[in-house]
Amino acid sequence: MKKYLILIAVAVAFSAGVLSCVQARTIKITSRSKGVELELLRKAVDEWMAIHKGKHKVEIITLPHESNNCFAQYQGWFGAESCDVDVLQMDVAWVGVFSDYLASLDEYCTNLDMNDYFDIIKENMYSNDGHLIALPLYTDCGLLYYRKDLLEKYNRSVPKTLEELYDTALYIQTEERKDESKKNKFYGFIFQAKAFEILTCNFLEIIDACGGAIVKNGVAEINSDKGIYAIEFLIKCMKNITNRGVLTYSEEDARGIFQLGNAVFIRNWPYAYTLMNGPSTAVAGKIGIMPIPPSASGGKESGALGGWFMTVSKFSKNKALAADLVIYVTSKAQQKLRVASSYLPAFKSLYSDKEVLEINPFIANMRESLLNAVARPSKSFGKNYSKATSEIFNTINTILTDSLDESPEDFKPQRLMKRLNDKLNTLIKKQNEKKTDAANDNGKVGFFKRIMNCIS
Amino acid sequence: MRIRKVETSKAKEKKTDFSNWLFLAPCLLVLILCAGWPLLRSIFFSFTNASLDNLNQTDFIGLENFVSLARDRDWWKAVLNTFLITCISVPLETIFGMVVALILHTNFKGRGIMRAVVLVPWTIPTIVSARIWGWMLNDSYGIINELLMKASIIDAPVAWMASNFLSIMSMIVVEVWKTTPYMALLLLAGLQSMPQDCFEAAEVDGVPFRKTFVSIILPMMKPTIIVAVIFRALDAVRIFDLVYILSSGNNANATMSVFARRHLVEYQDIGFGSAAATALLFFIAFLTVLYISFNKKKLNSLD
Repeated sequence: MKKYLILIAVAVAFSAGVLSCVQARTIKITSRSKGVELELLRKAVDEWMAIHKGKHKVEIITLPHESNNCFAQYQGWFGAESCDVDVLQMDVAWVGVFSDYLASLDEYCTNLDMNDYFDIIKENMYSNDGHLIALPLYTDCGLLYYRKDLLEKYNRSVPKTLEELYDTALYIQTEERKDESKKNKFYGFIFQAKAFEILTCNFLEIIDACGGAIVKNGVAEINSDKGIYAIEFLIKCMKNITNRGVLTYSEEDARGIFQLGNAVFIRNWPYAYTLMNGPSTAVAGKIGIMPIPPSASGGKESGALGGWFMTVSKFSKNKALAADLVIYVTSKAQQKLRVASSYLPAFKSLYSDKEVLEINPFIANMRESLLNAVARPSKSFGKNYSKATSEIFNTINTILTDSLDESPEDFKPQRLMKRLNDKLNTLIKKQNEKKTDAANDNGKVGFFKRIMNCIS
Repeated sequence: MRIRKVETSKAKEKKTDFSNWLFLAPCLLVLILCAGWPLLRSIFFSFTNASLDNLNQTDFIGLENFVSLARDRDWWKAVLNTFLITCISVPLETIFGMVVALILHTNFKGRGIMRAVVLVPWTIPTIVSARIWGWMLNDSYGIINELLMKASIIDAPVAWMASNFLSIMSMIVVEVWKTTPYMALLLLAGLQSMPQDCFEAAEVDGVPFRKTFVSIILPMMKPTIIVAVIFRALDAVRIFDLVYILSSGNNANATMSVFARRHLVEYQDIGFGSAAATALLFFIAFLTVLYISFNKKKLNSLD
């Protein structure tokens, strides 16, 4: 009896799944849950449903914290041509990678003012053949947060270079640790070095601030002098001014340390600003922000370009409705609301909007940062981007771990950097080959595919 | 008369033989569909360069995946990690499990409740307990650092997951915590099926417990222990969720199944990932063969 019940339950669940795909009155939208993102989206979605007088329903699917896992999830959905999800929240670096699976939004977005978007964001909104496939929900840029009160207390100025950042952090850390209660838990500089996408962003900023690049003109340059300088800077930080735990930290873990008042500097995204200034933190009102400073050896102010887009799946059964929802949640009015929680708008005009500046004065400085932002090299790797970024963060994480664990004689970061550089170049080559391959046998269905179709 | 009887029983046997298969059929069918087919498919994929996003351009490439697997440092690191975890955690679990089983075997008040309580770590889904341990092991607000510091065992917080050695060791501790109850349960079942008169005789003769344990309990428990160890080893070789949740994500502390997942899911490399999964299958098959051959021996000795 029990068995039958289980069988029936399975059958019902299965048919419910199939039906919901067909009936199509429910829009399924994915959302990240970092900080207050989920709440904000839920609010926007409720408004949208109210506008439609409850005729359509929206179901929010929460994504995993680490964006690599979202990426994998999306590949799974797209690979299976799944209609389980209509609207997908997507990292800026992925739009190019997934462009084949995204519905064109051209016909639904005829009255959007495209010129109001930042150029670096606009570059990522279109597919290779010029269709609009993504609208930015908010944008993001890596920032350096500092403790104003501590800099004042020790009479230090805001660092103008990476080297100065290091010196100041080391000095304040040494001084603060003289206090018995902070002896072993106060740090100069906290960043995120968990072997995930976030580490690629962290490293990208440092290498950019040192004047280098991960990929330049289609060639990997991570092993250049500037790349080596960048990794050596991080090693130096690792050894002297940071917590060993950063090797396992993503954004939220790092935020915790800073929020408890246990660090002078932290690198994080803008979303952390409001949260760290919240009523229950030890640092509210004592936080300053600035871009990642350039290295004294040459380079520029930097910040990794982050930010999330909303896209519509090609396999969605309700594209028009989904596009309508996307346009609603990414509209200027919605982005204005997000400003209160320090999510940066993608519209240039909002940065000089009086109301916006009143809600969150912090926004004013961000325009400059966004103009200086550096994008991840996802386009050079195409579909191999997940492999490339994984090679990058694994190697950097290994180097930083080894720098603490191995004896100085055994520790050879250069060898690992060279290997990483070679691997990245192989991946770029593969991507270029794929492009030409695809161009050559356009539309040919192979013998193998036919077998695959039969058996699957 | 006699001959007839034999014949009917043979016919009967045939009949039951057939109905045996009939009753087995649904189960076999489900097994073939749910286990056999995906298994064969993944073995088949391991000889191709299939990639999840583009199955159109899939070709047979023979053993190429296995060759590059054999050359992949990360893979061998994962194999090493897996065996390290298995070889350290399984013996520890057996020892602790034995201790717990012996305690639960004695007569004391509230034994029934204790038996249930001991099982708690095993009943919590691994994903949940891994998260809980992740928080407990956190270097800045974890309770473990706090306790160790209060007890003056360490004087600065330790980042348990930030070094290869420590993270493997921490995972082993969690794994032992989690599976000792299971081991205890298996061993307790073995203890209870032992004839009680041996114990009573030993007690009457005033044999010290240590001697009873070494010369009575251990030899009689040997089959149970071996089966339990092989069961656990099979499980430990596939260890996934714990590592996936706890580790810093670096390849250097991945296990075989984490490695296979990374290539299959994150890199879309169905071919190579399947090759890794197939190699893992061979390790498991080896252990299973060990188990079956042992079982056969045991059955034969019973006959």
